[in-house]
Amino acid sequence: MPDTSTPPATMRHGILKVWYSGTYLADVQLVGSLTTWLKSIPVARDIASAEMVAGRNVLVAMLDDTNPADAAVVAVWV
Amino acid sequence: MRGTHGTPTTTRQDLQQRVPPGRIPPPPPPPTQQRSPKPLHFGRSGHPVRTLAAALTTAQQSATNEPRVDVTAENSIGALRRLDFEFLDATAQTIAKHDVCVPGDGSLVRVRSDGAGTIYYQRVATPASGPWGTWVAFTPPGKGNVVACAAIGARVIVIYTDAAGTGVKWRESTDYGVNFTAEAAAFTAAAAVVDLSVAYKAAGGDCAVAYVTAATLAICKRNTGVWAAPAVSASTFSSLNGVAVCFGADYDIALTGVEATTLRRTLWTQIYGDGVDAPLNTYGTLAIQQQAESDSNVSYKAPFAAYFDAFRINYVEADAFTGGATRTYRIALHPLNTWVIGANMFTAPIPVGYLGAEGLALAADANAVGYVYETAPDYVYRAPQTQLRTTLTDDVVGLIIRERDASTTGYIDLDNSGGAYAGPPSPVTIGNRLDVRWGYYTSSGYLTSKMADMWIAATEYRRSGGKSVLRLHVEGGWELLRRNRQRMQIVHTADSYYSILLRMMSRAGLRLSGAGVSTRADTVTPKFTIPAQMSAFEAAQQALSFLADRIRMTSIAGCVMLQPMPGDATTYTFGVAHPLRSVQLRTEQPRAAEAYAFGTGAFGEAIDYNAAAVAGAPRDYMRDATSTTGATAAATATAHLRRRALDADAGLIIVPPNCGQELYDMVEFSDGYISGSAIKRRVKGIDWRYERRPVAVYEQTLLLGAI
Repeated sequence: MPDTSTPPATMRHGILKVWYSGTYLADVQLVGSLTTWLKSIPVARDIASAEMVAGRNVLVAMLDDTNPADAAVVAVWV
Repeated sequence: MRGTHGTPTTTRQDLQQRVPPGRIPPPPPPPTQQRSPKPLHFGRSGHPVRTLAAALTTAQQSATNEPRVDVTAENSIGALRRLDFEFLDATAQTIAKHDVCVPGDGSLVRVRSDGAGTIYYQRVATPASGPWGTWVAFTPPGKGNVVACAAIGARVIVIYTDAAGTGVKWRESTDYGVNFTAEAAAFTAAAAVVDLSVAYKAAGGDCAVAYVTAATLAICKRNTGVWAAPAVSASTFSSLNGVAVCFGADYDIALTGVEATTLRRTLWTQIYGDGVDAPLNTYGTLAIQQQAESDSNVSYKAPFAAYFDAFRINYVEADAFTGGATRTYRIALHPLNTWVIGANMFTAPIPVGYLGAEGLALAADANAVGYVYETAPDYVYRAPQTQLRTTLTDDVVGLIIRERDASTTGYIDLDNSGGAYAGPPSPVTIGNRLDVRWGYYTSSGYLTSKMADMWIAATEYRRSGGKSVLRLHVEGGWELLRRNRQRMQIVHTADSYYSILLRMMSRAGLRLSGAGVSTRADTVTPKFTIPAQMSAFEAAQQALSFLADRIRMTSIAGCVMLQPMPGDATTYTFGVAHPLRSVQLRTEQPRAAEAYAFGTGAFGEAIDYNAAAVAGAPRDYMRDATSTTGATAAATATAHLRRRALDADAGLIIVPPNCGQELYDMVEFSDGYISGSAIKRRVKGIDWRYERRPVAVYEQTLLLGAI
């Protein structure tokens, strides 16, 4: 039987779709998902709000692959 | 299609076969006819056990009885009829609204709009040969640009609109579409009709027209020749662009458009009750089957629905982003599922190599014979829908199947010394289902018991030492899950773990039922998102890691969820009546002695103190954002610890096959050299082995686990 303990966190490449500066949350299109986005992903507070421009690349650390609320945008780049 | 009368669902029961000695077992009985698919069963009546006939039980407990392994190949993918479409025509025509239906004489009727106010009609008496180039003007110019048709027996009805788009007209044939009545008014819509579809209910002519205006869904029924007033759905939409209706047991509707408020592009299913799966003349609940964000540059349109072996939908996904395409996709329901099964229950979309903007209409000959047609104005393909079953039993020279907690793999070797399997011949084809039954010669002849479904994953010709063998590599339901990924992300916000798994399985073509499911699986509703990149297998394992429940694959592309309990009754005993050839009894530490669940501002733990007192038992950490209290986090930890306890190995026994053995059954055996009392263990893996040469082998290895 497979080891059924909780799987490790994963890192995913995404595209920033919407930035909510007031709550430091973001909607992110994970690369590979053509039709739907992850909604309201927490964003690392050390990322400057001005850098969160729609269309930029982001790195999402998913502590639980099936719960976007348990994830964080940890990097943004052009 | 739009308007095909529902033809029966195929049902196959796990029947034990009785055949005279030395005779090839006949195929199972022909498909029975069932008007309505069975509703989803949520039984909780204890763990299911595959029961055996008394004569088979007696035979398998005798060391001298002749083994019997029956193997049959069938043209089914998952539980759905395999449709291998063949080309008939691709004559260029204007691409606009269109439809197709199949009258009872096997002819094919197509209708289409030219997009400029004229409806064209084509009836091909012999679809195998055409001709396909002839269309006749069905109406004088000056009509609307939407059209639909349906057929049942000798009746064919064509529905279209007037130039204003609000007046819905009909013409009907009672001679298979050769002659039609004059145009008549059916009803008047409150706003211009954007799309419409028609479906017959009965050979007497009762039918219904479903239609959408810019933002409204409505349906209008004709009973005993009288058109009723349209029934408008109370659902609100931002906009609608397509609709399809078929009659299964009620009027089953698929529609496409834009969701109100969120503006998400969506393919929904809806039902208008005929008193079977929904109350008479009542709309059901909209269920999302495909959805795209408002800014995704993706839209859905041109739905067509039909019910023959199962509910099937064709629709167009138009991707306007760079590199995207406008393409038809096929989705379907498991044959035993009903239209009202809920959201996200259709199989993962399968792309079709047709890029026309108005999609592919769908229709089939009645009674599960003949053909399924997919057509557009410039496209006619068809696929045989007949069930093909081939018995391979007499040629099986070896068979090894390995059933595990989350996999079923193995191979079947077929004697190809005469070249009978060159090709290989249909339906011995990759993707097709295999029916494998284990048995013996008994006092009632050959009796067998069917194991979980498997499908052909690969074929391999092996020639060595003058022997020629075709090896069929096979796999089971878990492997279907491994290959299943969605085109969209699935978000569950208020579904129980059971419901999440039910939908996950359904999208992979499997039908989950419950038998002794844990209360936790039924009641806890986690925030659970399945990203597009995640396989159904990964998602299922993630969901199951929060539960003590297990899922066992079964027949008819089914699976059963159950919670193994320490007090479960023994289902079979070895070593007394049933020979026990070999025993390796192992005792080891549980895989985890402590489980910690870290919730949202909450912590819960579960500890096996006895195991924790022994060095080496590890601790599992779980992230469980769903839990917001210590109690719920502790429940998560408890379920996980129980799950991990079941992972421990307890050795194995080797026996002549118990033909009804399944994973998670509780078995016991006696061996005075090991224990003075019966030894009870749970089955966590099964190796089935049947070989005719070089040495005849017929045995079963049961991998044992904790109870």
